[in-house]
Amino acid sequence: MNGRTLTVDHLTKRFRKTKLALDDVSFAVESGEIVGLIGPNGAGKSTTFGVLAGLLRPDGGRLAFDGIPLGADRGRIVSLIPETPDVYPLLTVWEHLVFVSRLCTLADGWAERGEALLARFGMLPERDTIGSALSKGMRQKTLVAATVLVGAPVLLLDEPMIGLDPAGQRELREILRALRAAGTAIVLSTHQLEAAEALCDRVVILKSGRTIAVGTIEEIQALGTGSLEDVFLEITSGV
Amino acid sequence: MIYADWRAFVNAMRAIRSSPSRATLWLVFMAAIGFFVWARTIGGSHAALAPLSDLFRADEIVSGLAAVLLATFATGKTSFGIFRSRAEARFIISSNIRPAAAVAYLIARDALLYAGRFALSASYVLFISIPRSVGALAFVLDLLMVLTFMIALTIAMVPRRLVDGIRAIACAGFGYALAVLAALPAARDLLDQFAPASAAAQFMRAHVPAWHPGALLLAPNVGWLLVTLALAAISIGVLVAMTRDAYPELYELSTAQIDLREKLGGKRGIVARLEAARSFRAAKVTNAVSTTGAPPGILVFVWRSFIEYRRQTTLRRIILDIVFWTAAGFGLARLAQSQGGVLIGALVGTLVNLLVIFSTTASGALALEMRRSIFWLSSAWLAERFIGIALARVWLQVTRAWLCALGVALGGGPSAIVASVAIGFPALFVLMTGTGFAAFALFPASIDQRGPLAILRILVTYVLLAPPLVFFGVLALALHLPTIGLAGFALLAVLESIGLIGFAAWRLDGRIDRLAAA
Repeated sequence: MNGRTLTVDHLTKRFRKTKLALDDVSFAVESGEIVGLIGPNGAGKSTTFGVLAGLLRPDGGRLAFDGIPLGADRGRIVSLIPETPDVYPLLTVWEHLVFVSRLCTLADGWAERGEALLARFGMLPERDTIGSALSKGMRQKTLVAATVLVGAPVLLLDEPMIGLDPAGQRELREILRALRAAGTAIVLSTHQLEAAEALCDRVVILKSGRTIAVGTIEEIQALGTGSLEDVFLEITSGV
Repeated sequence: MIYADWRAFVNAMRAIRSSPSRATLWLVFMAAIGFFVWARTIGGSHAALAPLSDLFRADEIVSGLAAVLLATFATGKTSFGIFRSRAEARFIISSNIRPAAAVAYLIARDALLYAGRFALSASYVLFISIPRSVGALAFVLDLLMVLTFMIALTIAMVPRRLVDGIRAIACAGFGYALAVLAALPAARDLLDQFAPASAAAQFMRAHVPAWHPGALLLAPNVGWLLVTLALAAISIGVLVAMTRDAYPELYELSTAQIDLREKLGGKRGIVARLEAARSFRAAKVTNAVSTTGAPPGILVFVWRSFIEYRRQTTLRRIILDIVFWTAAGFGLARLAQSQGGVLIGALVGTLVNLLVIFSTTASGALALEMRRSIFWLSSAWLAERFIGIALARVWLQVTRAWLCALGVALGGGPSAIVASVAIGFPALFVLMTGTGFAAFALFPASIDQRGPLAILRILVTYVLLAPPLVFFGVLALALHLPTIGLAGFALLAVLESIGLIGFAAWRLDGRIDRLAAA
């Protein structure tokens, strides 16, 4: 643990002032840690991501990174990669990195770091491929590369494995492990519990907008009997 | 099929009802439209004989509608009468509905849908411009006749697309010839109205008979309605004869359109859709030479827009664009010399009105940007980024205006016109973009954009144009300081636009759920 922590404290979000989408959700993610956000449909995973990324305004609670509340400039701290990774259809992979580097006015040296990132993610052959010709996996990798280039220390991935072939899933897992080793705090939401089991250091289980369990895979498994899937089904149906 | 569409309609109405502000907006809109129809038909004073301007306007409506529909028939590239989704296609094809019946239903639905959408989008123009000499009964007959004509032609669209080879070429030739014929009366009227002394007007008067198809609208009768009904019956006959086993072709046509629609995503408006369709075709190119030199900060949006334009536009098209806009300016200058300032004033006024009205259909830029996660990586203020997007939207329009101004200068036009085109129009584009962003931030749903919001945007744009125009009028006309007046006009328009963009940013900041619900 490196000490820099994303803290989600008593987070509440209502839609149309009546529908409670998040109800007192709390958890923390350390730098160099992968946390899985799991829960049935409508549990509040996407809403949590929306609030963390600044797309939705919370009705209550506190969000902080490294002890400092997340404000309007959170774009440089938290980066969300949605389930459908949208890229600019007429820009090449490299031009996406140019775009974010200039938008964020990065210091000199970003181009070398960008080239190195493309090499690290195995994307050099696609450097000049335009967005509309990229597969979903490549689009995801483009966005992850942009995030890493900007230096956002927190990465949120919404259902990252959906639509990827087995090779793509393995590639993404390896990239996420490498980012974890480099100190990035990663939160991913997924319905694929095997993927969560294989990748996550800890999981947060949500149901109906509430946190019902937080812990390592072993700690969660200890709450019931059998695999993570068995325990997940047991505790989400029993609450 | 009727049940499914009815349920979809009911659910859409429920969605409107569930939001009180949206329901109120729509009620006010419907009331305003109802008032205009009443005032123009039942409540208006109806002269026995229509004034010439009414006839000209009616000519333009009938000619324009017929020419557009016939040209559409000629190209055969429409989305009329096809399946709207792959699911619908699979349900219908796997049922025992006969292809002709299914196609007829799809066409009738599309005709109603498109007519309804057109009526909503262009309601301002339609209902404000109903000639006063049209009574209530005539108005109803007009609506029936136009709808029947649209159905007749749209029914012919599917058989048209199913033919190929020499027959397709013959259809295209026939359609284009009729479209030109249909457009002639409007062209003759326009020249008579705006440039009666020009050589073109004299040529038209000498060679084109004084047809007035607008008389059909001003004094409709049951006979003409029966003629259009007969036209529809013939189309149905052709359809039944040609679509005995047309599901495979229909599925292929439909999936091509569905693919295109999915690629277009949230793009709204004619201009945005045309641009997106071009980018869709350009996307067949998979690789490009990457560029690195980009400006820092929000100007990177302009850089991106320029790269996209360059990548989806051929060099020939760019050259044509340059030649066209310069030639337009040149022509304007020559027209000013031969016809005088009154004509130029009328032309510029008409152009401004058309720009304001048609700009209401283009508003999806913000939604598309905000749905991209890369947009949120920046820590710049949201308003700052919106200004970047606004600049990216207007740079091409501004460049075209400047090319036009260059053409006016080359043609020896008065410096006042050069300055107006070079400064006035860019300021107008910026103001319209700001209005569009603010309107989108208020009601991002596409259903609202077509109806009440289109009217609201037009009204707001005119209201916002008033202060800069007054400023210009005082300085340029009263104090004889035209340069400062024009600069003041542009400055005020830009300031208003910045205010509107700031409002949009304030409204949307932290409320992306509004977009999700849209």
